[in-house]
Amino acid sequence: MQSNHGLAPFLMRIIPFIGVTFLSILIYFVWPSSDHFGPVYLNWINIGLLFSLAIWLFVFGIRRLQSAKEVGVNLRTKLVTVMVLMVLLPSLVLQVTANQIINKGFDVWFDVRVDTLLDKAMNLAQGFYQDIELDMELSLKQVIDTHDFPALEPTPLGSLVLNQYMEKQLHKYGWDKLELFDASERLIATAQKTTQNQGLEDLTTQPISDAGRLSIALGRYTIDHDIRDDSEYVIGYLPLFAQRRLVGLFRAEVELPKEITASARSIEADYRTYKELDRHRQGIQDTFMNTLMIVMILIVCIAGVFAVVFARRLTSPMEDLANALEQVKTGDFDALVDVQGDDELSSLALSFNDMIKRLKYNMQTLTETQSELTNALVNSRQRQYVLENLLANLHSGVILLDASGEIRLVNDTCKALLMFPERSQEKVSIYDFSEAHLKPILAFFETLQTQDLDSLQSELVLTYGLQTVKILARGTLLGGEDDVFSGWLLVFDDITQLADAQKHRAWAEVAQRLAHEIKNPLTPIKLSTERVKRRFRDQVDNVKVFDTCTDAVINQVERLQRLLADFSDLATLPKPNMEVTTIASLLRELRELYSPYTNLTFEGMPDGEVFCDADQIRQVLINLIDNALATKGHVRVYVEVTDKDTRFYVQDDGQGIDESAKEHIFEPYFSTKAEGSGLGLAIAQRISEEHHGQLLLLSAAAPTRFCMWLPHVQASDVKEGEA
Amino acid sequence: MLKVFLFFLTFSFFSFAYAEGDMAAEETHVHIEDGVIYCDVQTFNQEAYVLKVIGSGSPMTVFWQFEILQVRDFWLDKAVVSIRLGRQVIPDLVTQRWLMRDLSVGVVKYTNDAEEAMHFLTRMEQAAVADVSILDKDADFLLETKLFTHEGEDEEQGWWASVTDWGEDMGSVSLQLSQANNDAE
Repeated sequence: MQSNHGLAPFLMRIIPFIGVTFLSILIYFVWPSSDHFGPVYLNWINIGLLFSLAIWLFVFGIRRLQSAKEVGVNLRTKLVTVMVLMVLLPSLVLQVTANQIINKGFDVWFDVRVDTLLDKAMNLAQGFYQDIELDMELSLKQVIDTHDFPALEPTPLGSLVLNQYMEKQLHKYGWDKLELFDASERLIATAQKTTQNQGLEDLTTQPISDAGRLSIALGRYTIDHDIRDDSEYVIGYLPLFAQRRLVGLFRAEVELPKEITASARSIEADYRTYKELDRHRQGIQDTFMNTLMIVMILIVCIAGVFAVVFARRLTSPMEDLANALEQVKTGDFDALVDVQGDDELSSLALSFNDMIKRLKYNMQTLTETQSELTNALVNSRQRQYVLENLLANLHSGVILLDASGEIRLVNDTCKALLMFPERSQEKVSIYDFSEAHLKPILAFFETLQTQDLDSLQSELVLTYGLQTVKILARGTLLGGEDDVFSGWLLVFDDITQLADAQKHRAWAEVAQRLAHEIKNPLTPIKLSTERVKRRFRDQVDNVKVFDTCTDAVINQVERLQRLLADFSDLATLPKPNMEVTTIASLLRELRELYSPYTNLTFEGMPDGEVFCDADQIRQVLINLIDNALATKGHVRVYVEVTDKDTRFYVQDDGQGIDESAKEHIFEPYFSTKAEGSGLGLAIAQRISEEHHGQLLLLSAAAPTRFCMWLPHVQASDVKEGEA
Repeated sequence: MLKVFLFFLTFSFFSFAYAEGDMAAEETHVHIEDGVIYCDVQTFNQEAYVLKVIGSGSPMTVFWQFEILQVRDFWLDKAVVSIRLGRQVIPDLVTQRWLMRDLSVGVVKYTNDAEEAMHFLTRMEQAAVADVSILDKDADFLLETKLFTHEGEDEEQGWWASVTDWGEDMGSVSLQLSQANNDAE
């Protein structure tokens, strides 16, 4: 199986979609945010251009996929597209809904009331601290205003007066601790509230802070905060001056209640957290939305991969089927597909394989049958070729007719023998034999057909123009009702020469026998009669009668001898000595021979030659001219030379020939003259036929016209024919 | 058609970047005193943001990065000096005090004025960048300043922040070392 599942083609196909993904990410980054700084229209222009480019790339990728010649890619593309859309559309709806919910949730979360509440809480906490500070300020102010603190310099360290004063101030203002430092920042007196579990280590003194030094520098009280040991303190510094000279520094300290400071710090932490969240509200919102979008993209991608895999698995058998089908189209019937699983596609593959096997078997059978048919056709064509050659070279004319009389086969010999007119339509049926000379053929077939004969043989005479052909026609019924073919086979043989030869041979035999039987006694009769006449002439009473009788016997015997000589000539006519003779020489000799006759005219002296035995042809013409002169009418002799033959005409304007004598005029011993032997025209016609010509009576009535035509046959043709 | 399309796309992007560049509002001044390069720099873009952050109680840390680049014709400019100065403000909303801490020298100071704390972060005055003697007097130099800000007290933001946070470019100033040398002589 051909496979197009390479990694490189796959990457080339998905490059446009990777570009679409890249552009989509770029669109996301270019999308203007709510806190965007600067003009927004450039972002929208960029988004529009990127979106257009992404759409163009997507369409290009889809078209590229669809234009791939890989089988099944269209179906696979559709499946993947549908499945991705089935995931993408709900995901988009879900994304939009989630965005709305997130927006609404954030609006609720960061409600103004919450903001206000936190501000108030924060203000409350700050107010508490401010109140403590204010109390400290007021206390320090009162200390200043009362001027009741003892003079420090004359008071020794740790004197009772100072201690009492410190204790008094501590209790008066509610401080937790009061310390007095001298100008050198040395602790000279301290007062502190006693608490339970308080040890000496709790009497440690904290160093003066920046606020304390600031109060010294400014010459007025300052307030400071301190956070130590998980407690918060408000510390007030009050510098003591004597005659504008710093003599000491009070540091009063109040510990803030831990519950309140814890609450205040908690409020501060919550406030800070809330403000941070509010400040990053858009970012958090974007994070949620981006997370959802990434999840959606991942789902779509996974769905796409799953769709690709599924579509490939689904279309792979169809692709195999299509490839196998392509192979089958090219003639390869070994293209079987793998059958996997037990589903409809595997069933289809099984059916396909079975179909291919059957197709292969049928093709093999068909090929074998075709080979056999080809061989048979070759043999049939060979037989047809042999048959056609046989028929073409056959001297017999053959016509094969089917049951309806349609001509299925006719050979050239038949066409020539039956003298089919060349310019007539191609004959497709025996019933097209409408020409006069073909009527006997049609009548022969109708006889064969109407009388329901299996075979029929008959001699037919066809006359076409000047030609008369004797034909032996034989018809045979072919096949029967149950046979593949039924019809008739008509075979024609030209028996003209055979019939003439048989007739002449018969007459020759008769003549020879007659000559033999009659000639022998005639000579003794004649000699005896002459002897009787010489010996007994003087002894008879009536010499005249005797002479008449003996002369009659002698004359009749001589006549019989001449008759027998003609018979002998007819029987033993020599073969013509063919040679080229000019027509003019023939006519010139005849003209000289018949020059005494004034009623005989030779018309014209055409050029040309005939291939003949001049003596025999001259004898024929002399016979014809003698017969014509015997009529006492005017005789015309003329010659016509055509493309095919030379025609000698002898015409007289005598009384003509009777119709009854017309049919027998060329038969031997038929004569209209009392002294004629009746063999002249018979010999003349035989000479004509020996020259492959014919002697015809063209017109029996006056003017009587005979025609002898001789073909233009060359000496070589005659020799070949004789051979 | 595609070429025209790509031209507009490129033009739009470059216009966008150019407009963004114009909107950067910063002011950097350099002066050399006694052979020491000092830099005064202030960002105006960050003031509102910084005031909002520290006003809402969130600590904030900034780092000013000063780099002196040797200008080269056919290669990228070479950094010869690079220092980072950090500052931090930790608010105390309850007492409404802001602790200002200079991370470079460790000085700590409280203030009750949020704007003072804000200016502590967004202004850097008299920042000693380098001694002129370490610079080649025949070369041209640029002083580039960047501001890295992040919320919180942590001084290091981790490798991811170092990759993604390229800082805010505060501009670059050409150093006139020849004049400084003359003054020094």
